[in-house]
Amino acid sequence: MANYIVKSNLRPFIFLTHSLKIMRKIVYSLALVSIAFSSLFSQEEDEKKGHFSGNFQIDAQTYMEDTITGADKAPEIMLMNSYANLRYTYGKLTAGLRFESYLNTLQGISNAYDGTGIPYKFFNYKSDELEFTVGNFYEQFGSGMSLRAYEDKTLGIDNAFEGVLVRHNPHKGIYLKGLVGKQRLFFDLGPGIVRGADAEIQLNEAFKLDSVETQITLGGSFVSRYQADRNPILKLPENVAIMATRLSVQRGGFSIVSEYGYKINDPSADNLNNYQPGQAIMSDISFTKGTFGMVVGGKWLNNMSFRSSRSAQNNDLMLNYLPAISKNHIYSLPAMYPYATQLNGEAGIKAEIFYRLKPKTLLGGKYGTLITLNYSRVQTIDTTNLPMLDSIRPHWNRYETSFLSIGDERLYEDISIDIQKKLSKRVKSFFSLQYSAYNRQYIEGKDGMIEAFIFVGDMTFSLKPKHALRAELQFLSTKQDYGDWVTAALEYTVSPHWFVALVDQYNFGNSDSDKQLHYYMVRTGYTKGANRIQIGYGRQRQGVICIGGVCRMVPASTGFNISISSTF
Amino acid sequence: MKTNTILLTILIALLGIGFNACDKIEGNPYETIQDTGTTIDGDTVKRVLLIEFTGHRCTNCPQAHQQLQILSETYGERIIPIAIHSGYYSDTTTTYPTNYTTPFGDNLTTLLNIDLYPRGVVGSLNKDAQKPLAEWAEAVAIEKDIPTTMAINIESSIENNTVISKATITNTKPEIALNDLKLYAVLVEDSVVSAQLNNGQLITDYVHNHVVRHGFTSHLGEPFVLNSESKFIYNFPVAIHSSWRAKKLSVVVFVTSEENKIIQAAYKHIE
Amino acid sequence: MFKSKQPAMYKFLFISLISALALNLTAQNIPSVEIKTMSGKTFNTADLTNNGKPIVISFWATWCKPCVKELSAIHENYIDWQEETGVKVIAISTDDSRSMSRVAPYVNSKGWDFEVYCDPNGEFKRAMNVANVPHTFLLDGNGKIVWQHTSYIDGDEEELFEKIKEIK
Repeated sequence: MANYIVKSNLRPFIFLTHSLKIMRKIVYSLALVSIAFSSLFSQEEDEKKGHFSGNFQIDAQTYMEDTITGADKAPEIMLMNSYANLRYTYGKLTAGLRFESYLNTLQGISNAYDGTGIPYKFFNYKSDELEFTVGNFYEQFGSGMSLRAYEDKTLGIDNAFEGVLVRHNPHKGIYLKGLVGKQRLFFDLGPGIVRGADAEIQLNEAFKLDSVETQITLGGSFVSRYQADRNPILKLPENVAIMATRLSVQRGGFSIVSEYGYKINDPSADNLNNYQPGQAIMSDISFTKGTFGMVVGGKWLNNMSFRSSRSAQNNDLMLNYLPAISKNHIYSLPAMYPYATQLNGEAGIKAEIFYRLKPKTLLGGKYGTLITLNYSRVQTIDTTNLPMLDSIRPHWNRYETSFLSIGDERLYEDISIDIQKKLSKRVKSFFSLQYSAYNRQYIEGKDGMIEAFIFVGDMTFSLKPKHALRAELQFLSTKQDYGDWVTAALEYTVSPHWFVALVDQYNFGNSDSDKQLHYYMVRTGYTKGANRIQIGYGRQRQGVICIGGVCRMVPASTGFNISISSTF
Repeated sequence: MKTNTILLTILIALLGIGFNACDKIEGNPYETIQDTGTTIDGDTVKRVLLIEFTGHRCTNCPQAHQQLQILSETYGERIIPIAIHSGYYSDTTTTYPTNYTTPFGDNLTTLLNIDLYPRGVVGSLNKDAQKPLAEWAEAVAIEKDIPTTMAINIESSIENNTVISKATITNTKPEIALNDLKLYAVLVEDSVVSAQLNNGQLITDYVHNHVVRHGFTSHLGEPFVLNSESKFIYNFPVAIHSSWRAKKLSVVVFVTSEENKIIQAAYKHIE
Repeated sequence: MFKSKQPAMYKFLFISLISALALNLTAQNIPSVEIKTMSGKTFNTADLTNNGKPIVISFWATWCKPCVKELSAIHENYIDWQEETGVKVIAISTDDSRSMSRVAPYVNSKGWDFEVYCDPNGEFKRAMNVANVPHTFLLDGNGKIVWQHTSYIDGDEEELFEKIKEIK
């Protein structure tokens, strides 16, 4: 069980932590009662019966020593991450749990997970008007600027709350949420107690404006974190609040989504004890008509990292979510230099255009062509350092900045064009050209600016019914880092069950000729319905995996891997 | 009507939380407490060792160094900082030509799994003891109040360009058994001027303090046994390297016990 | 929490769940979860219907290559499928707030005429026990899940269509 050490300055929360303990007992009792009841009434007609569902996934890999790539042998030889979700629903009641086992954790994901447990369990009641969850839950307010608890197993992120969540829908178009809880930190809980509330009103529904074409939704949220101050040299705020307000307007193919957030003084490990308030604004405007679509977006933020512990780092205990403005690239080489949001300050813009050339036109060909243009750029914000108070004490606000100011340093830029075209009844193609610039010097403190040009070509040939061959070729050219790369992949698929794939990533442009290595991988898999097994062998290069602008490092590895997943 | 009442109640509750759940710190947040304790040689005042992992190309490390100085102002001789330059950020380049790395530092970095800089280690030589800057002050404040019965006395002098040191370890309360003891000794140099990256800017004349220059013991320490009412004496000489300045050298000794807990440390400036 | 400790309570809970399953397992209905429409309105997944005809629910994302391939393949056959079986395809985008704004223009320029909803924090995805996208469910006229499939390879849409036809 989590240790609820009640310290003297936690006194106002004794009641709360104590009630959480009791709550836990209640969750299980209720879950058991609901199951018992469902068994009793199991003779009733079908709809009244409860049902049971779930899924599981196992990812295991062996790690062999590879003197060529520098991959390390794992002392355990094989490492494994796995989990199983179980849900039981009976009418308005749902109870569920997730069993997780990391024996030991795959490389690249924090080994603080090592072990086995049931870190996720909940009991939920949901009617049309009212919903409450006790136990563990995920939640997001607006775009996540003030609060987002989510899970991403590929990144090793799970910052679920443990506590209470209430959602109330008092009137059509009005949605209220409130929560109190602590966040998950591996198999433990973080130190901060989080209180949050969110309100959203859909004006057209709330005021019965059915005839009005313009749809308007307004929202606001408030989140506060309590963490005791035990610092002898600084007066730290124990209750830190973040608030955000949002607007969404939609009319026909046109829409605006915008959110503004403000955070009071929150000295932390992320901002090196900077006391100045944080601010962020994020807006996306999209327009679509016919086969044309576009999105333009802008974002400005200063000092907006927010976690349920001041000293948390990496991907631990993140309480809000500030997505990267750059595009999420699909292929491996375009995603070689991904960008993650700089939580201490950045200003960015993006624009993306989609256009489908209609079939049977000159450029559209027989089946039409989809063209996507994408541009994004992120700069630093403009700051003026404040003078030190004395030789060792920096000013508590560190620097001054003005809202929406843009600094001189380019952090990231990319521009790309993608073309998707079906060439004939049996041949589909995809081509992409991209330029990326990544300021590794500023972001990681090393290696300067990395500029890369990337080409991707991908063709799928339908050979006979249900048999297809996919060939992929990618080039990345850069003078920095590891130099030029080429990736070639062949994949043969037999629907609906089988696939075999061969991939080779070759670092032919490495300035050190001993490091001009092939990273090859062989994979095969079998899928039947919602059950899937995949086996592979090969070398994985050292790299960064990012999802939604949150990243993790993956070390070089060589070995066998196996994945099994099933939904039931 | 009923709905409106519920709504109103919720709104009032929200506003209530909003007004109460914020602590705005106005003006200067620095505390002015001082807790330097007594400094009589050989008594059992607990001295807290803080191992600072740093590098001259680590842009946030000078902030950590400043915080250490604030901690030294607050706790005086009750805190003993030593700085280990290691990892990627300590590589030498034409802009940062000075090599501050040592085998002792490199091995300890690997042992403690340090991969982010700056990092501080307080309390024990275990992987989970490494702390981000935001936790240093709190860790020192907690650690200084953990009592110890161990006393370390260092004598140090220079003869024929060699630093000759002797550490005498005693248990002031022999009835309390101290097990699994290991002694660590390092030579540190203060006021070394060279380049440092600070908040994105190159400082060519940055002053590096308590830089670990030499490990007398290995990074795994020197195991010893302290029988009741006996002393443990450890002698450790080292020839002064041409790049060290004798006047700026000091000796730091610390001892770990069960579970690698650092139970006492001592510092001696070489006269 | 419960690292390496397994109180008897959990074993009991687990066994109870399993026995409850044995006693009264039924096919799964669509769970009731709030998702967003393309115009930003809140929508309850329990209200997804097709007047007694089959429904296909496909979880996808704009950044997921096989997902887009699958929906494109369904799109090419959608008119024929609808004529023959009356099936409705519902595409649930799992894009989070980073790429959510891309969904509407992307779907439109692709020319897809599916019902599209957004599930930015994975709530519906979790309720349906989806581990990875693409993941496709086939529901019969009573809203019961009769078949599901994970991942996509070229030609898989034909198996889906066979399963849709079996419902009739």
